[in-house]
Amino acid sequence: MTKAKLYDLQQLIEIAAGNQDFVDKMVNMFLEMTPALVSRIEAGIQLQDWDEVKSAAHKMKPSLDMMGIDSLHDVIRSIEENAKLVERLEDMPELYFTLSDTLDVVYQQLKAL
Amino acid sequence: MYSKTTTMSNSFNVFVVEDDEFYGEILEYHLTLNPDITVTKFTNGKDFLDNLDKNPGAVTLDYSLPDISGEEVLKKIKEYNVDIPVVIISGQEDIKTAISLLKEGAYDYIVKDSDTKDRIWNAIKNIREKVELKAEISELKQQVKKKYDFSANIIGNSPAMKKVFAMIEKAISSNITISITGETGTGKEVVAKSIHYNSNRAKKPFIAVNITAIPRELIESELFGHEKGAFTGAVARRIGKFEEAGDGTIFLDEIGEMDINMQSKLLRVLQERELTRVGGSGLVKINCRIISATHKDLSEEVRKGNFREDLYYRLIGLPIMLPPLRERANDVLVLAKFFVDEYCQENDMKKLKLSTKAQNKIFKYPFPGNIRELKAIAELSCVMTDSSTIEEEHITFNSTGSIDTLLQNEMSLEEYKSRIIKHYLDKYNNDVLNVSKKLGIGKSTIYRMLQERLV
Repeated sequence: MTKAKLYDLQQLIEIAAGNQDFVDKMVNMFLEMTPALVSRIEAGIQLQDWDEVKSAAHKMKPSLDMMGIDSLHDVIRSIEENAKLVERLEDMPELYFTLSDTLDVVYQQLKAL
Repeated sequence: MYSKTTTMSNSFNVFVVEDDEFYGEILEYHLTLNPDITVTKFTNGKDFLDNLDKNPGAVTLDYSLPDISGEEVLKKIKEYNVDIPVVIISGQEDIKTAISLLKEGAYDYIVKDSDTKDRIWNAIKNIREKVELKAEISELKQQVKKKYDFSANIIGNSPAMKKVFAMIEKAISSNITISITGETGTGKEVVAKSIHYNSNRAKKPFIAVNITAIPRELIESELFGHEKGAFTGAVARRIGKFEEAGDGTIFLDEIGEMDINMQSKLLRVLQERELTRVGGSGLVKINCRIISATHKDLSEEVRKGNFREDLYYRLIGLPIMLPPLRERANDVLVLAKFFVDEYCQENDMKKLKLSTKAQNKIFKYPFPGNIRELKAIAELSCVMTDSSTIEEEHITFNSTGSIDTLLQNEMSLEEYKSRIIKHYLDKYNNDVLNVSKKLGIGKSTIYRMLQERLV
């Protein structure tokens, strides 16, 4: 299990301007919403529904940035771009697994807060 | 779906249209750090458009909504109310789309990144300032319009004023050049403003220029503007009063005092309806209405060679002659009461009455300074009285001693002579020789009058 923190809440903390309740609320919101988006990407790849993949990746992008998950910065953009252009589709399964595995660790780390 | 935060009075409501609930929450939190801002969130285009009649102060619009495209939503907003400012928020930078949306009327185009929240904050802040400024200007315009509603502002029932009202009506309903003549203090500028603010140019600027107040060497640049470096001190381009007036009205007060060389330049501008800034070569079209005013008899000035005949005919248009107050019969009392009421209202005082004797005193006075003088006297009387009535003794005339005032005293010729000599002796420090030269009388006559204590 990766011990290094895969997220950085600094940006969220700055926006919260000292309001810890808001930080907690956003973390919970991230934990509730993101798995559904990951599932949409997974299903989209399986069904080769690239519009669905593009839409879910596009929607996920700001929250990944806000949660400071830097290791997924390029991954989520590649998924969105490949789906949009319907190119390099052979890379999609691997990109998806990177996304999914990283997020699983992030979920655990955030739940342990 | 939509959700709304608690509405505060005088708050500025921002509609956040964002299908990403996480991001929408961030925006709401960030914007409502300003307690004057409330946020209503929508996660799709349809719900938002269904609530457009709630007239948001501003909209932040996610470009990629699940049901309707950002372009389509923007179009519908602009169809509904072109003044609603819309900030487009996009997940990726797309210059072509950004330009197209800005052309369609979007206020700003912001890409979602780490700086987004600050950019949105600034955009909303600027929008708010702009909206408030617009509301303030609109309110001030209403106030000005009300102030110059001529039926309420230009007071008088005399036959002389009825003729003036008829002319003002004609001036308002047409676009003709206007020339106003009248003694000082008869209200020439008030009439000019009333014409402007009741005409179809009311929402455009009214620019007043007093020719006598501008040094002769600066008048051309003041009226027509100048280019950078046109003369020493011209550090930047500056537009002149004609350009400033735009589609509004330029009021050229004391036109009779204009230098003859400047008259030729003005004539050319009025003939061509275009001007050249000082030091420039390009032509600038002018479209403002011209209202000129003078206390002089311009036709007489033309006869004397002081005013160009061709400019005179160019400016005369619809002539409005304002009668002096002494020729306006009972208007003097109507106006006195008006000024007393106005002063009381402006200073939160109880209404004051003018006693019969005070009215008689006002009525008999010739008012060489016309309405301006009457207003000052009426206001002073309001200050002087300690009761609810203005008495005769509260009416103080401070006329500078015009001949009309002097004649009002109906003295004998000898008495007038004494008064005139005394006036000159006071003025020239009892220099009898000088006074005798000034008045064209022998110095022995003055010495005799002094000896006989007639002076």
